[in-house]
Amino acid sequence: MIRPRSSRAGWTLVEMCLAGLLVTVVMGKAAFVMQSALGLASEETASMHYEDQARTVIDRIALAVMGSDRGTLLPQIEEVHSDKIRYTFSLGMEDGVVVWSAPEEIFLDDTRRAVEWRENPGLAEERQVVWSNLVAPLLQGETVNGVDDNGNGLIDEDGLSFVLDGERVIIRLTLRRPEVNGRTVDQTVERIVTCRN
Amino acid sequence: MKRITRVGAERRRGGALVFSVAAVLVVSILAAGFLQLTTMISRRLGSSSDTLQALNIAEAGLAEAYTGLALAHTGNVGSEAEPAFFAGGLMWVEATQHASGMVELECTGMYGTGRATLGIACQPVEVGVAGLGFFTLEDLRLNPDVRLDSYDSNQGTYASQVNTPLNNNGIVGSNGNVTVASGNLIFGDIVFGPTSKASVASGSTVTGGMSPRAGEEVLPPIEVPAIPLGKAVKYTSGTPMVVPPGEAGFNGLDIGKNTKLVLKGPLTLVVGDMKLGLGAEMVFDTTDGPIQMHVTNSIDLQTSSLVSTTTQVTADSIVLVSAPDGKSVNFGAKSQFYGFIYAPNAETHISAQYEIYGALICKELQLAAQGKMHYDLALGPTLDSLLPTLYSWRVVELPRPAAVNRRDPFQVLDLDPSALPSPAYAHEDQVLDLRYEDRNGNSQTYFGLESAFDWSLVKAVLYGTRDGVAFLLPDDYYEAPVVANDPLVDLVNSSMTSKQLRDALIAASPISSEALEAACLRQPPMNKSDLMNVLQKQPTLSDETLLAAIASPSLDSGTLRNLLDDYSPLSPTVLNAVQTRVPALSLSDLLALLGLQ
Repeated sequence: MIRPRSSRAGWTLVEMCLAGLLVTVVMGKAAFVMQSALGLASEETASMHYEDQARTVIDRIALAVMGSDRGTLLPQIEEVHSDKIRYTFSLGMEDGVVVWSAPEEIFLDDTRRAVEWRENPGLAEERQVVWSNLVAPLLQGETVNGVDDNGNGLIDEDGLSFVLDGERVIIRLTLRRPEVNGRTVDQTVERIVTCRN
Repeated sequence: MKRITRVGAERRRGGALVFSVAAVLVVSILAAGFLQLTTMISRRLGSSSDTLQALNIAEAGLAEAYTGLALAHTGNVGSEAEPAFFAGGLMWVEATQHASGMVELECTGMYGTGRATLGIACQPVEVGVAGLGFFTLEDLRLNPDVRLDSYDSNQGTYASQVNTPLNNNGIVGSNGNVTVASGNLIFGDIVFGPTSKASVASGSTVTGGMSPRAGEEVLPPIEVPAIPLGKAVKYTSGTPMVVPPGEAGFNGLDIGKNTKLVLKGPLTLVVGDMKLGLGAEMVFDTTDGPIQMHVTNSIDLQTSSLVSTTTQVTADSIVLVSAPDGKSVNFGAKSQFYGFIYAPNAETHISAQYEIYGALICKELQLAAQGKMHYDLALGPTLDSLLPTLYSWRVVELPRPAAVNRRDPFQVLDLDPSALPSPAYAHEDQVLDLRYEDRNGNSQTYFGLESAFDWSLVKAVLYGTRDGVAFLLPDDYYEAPVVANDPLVDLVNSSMTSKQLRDALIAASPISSEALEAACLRQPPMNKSDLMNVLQKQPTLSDETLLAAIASPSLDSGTLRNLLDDYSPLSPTVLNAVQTRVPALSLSDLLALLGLQ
């Protein structure tokens, strides 16, 4: 015998409320997790992007300095940081003689927060290329207070700094991007290279 | 009833499915996102580390080729078609020889997605300018009776090396003609200018070869140190003037009659005009360090002055004359100067009593008759200094399609890594001439292509060349008379007259058995009395020399008997040679000689 379905069959209001609440909680949690994950991923991606860019820039700087003639580096003062470096490098041999490049310069443009490369600086035939325009005003962890805040032995160093130490050149670079939520992502890379010429 | 129940159940299951699918979707999206992120990170990190590794491999390849040049390799290591396997990647080096002697090396390293090409320019052997020996930019005309020879200050004094092979390696060179006058003794080689010639007068001797140089020598300019110059000094005090170690500069230094100047090393001295007066003396005191004296205008060491050095280290006393072009400078003092004189712009006058042990490079040379100069081999290249001189290092752009293609290099070049040689075995093949000690301690030799030689057989290399260029010589190479180049043997075989030869051999006595034997058997023969004079000047004669005397066409029966009388009783070998001599001794001489036995 088939028992007729009760008119009160189905979910009660309480059940509906509970179900709705549960669904809302679960969905909310899922959305929260997703948002967090996406935020994290976005931050990671941004960080990685900046690390990538920082490495690319510092690799270019490092190769330029490695190929330079130590005697032609400017400035020549050791153990004092500078935000620019001027150098010449070997172009190879022509007619049995080593040919050297025109002077080049890598420097930090404070106004544009950019690492810039210049060939023949100051001359009519000067060429200029911006390698990155996301350089932090100061190296990560440093503030303008006359003190070595980040413990690297330098005081109030810029976002791009060169330090000469014998035949070695220590290059440090911090790239910075302000995030939408007001946070900033800093990416610092350091490279120590030896002048080969 | 069952159907209704089933419908209700399906509805509930459908609701759960929606939630489940949504949850799975969310998780999948998250997982995919993280996977993509991770892949991206690892790919970028991998690419960065691959590039770094490729750079390191290229550096290693350059180092292999660079050190290879010091071992007489060509600098080519592997090739794009057959590279060397190294550190999980591959590399090859291409060497380009330039006419200037420079070698350009370019090494391409490939690892994973990383590619790098680096280049260096270097000069295989650094030969200091002093290695030119006695050299002039202009034509070199030697005055009569000059002696130019060599010794090695690392092996002992000059006196201990006279008439040894070390005495026979002098270098006399010029960018122009070389004219050797009568009575000159050149114990070594003459190297004249590429389009010039050497003229050797009769009665002179050149024991070595004569050949043009490959290209004109370019002498480096002198860089005068920026030392402030004090006022000119005319020193006449009886107390010696002492210039202490360090740096000093004078516009002029005039050391007056019978006064003394002592230069104490380590010292860098710059002088405008340097003059040593009559009886004046200048001492290079290099006991505590080297002295480098720069003369920027003129130098005049007068005839009766004296110059001396406290040590015999030729690299420690250096006189650099940067006098204006065409200016003549005078080294007229009495001296046994152990050092190096470099005057690339000056006409240099050297008196017969200014005897140089070291080297001399100048624009023009006026060496007085009977002058003597002894080139110090220690100033030339040594095996220790064979590492190439590095002139530049650079990063080369990657033009090759294979290098630009960022896939696995072994796939790109279609190579099996296990079939590739290591860098040490990837040097370009050359003809190897080797003397070595094998694993059992036996001395062995090999001559042939290096690719066919098994280096695992070698315990120690004793001597080796590649394509005729030495890469290993034994320490006693110069001492061991492997090559019979006793200078006196060369002298005997020269075109000197019998009388000249007699005088030269008597002056050099006592001389070696080899030289005496050569003198006895010389063609054309020496004069009888000349040969006897030489033989009688020797403290003793070996059996070998007596045998040569017996066979000599110079000595007649009576002369030979007189000589052999002094050495009787004779050894059976010598006695047998006397009895079988052709032409035979006269009967009376033979009987007299036999009576003494």
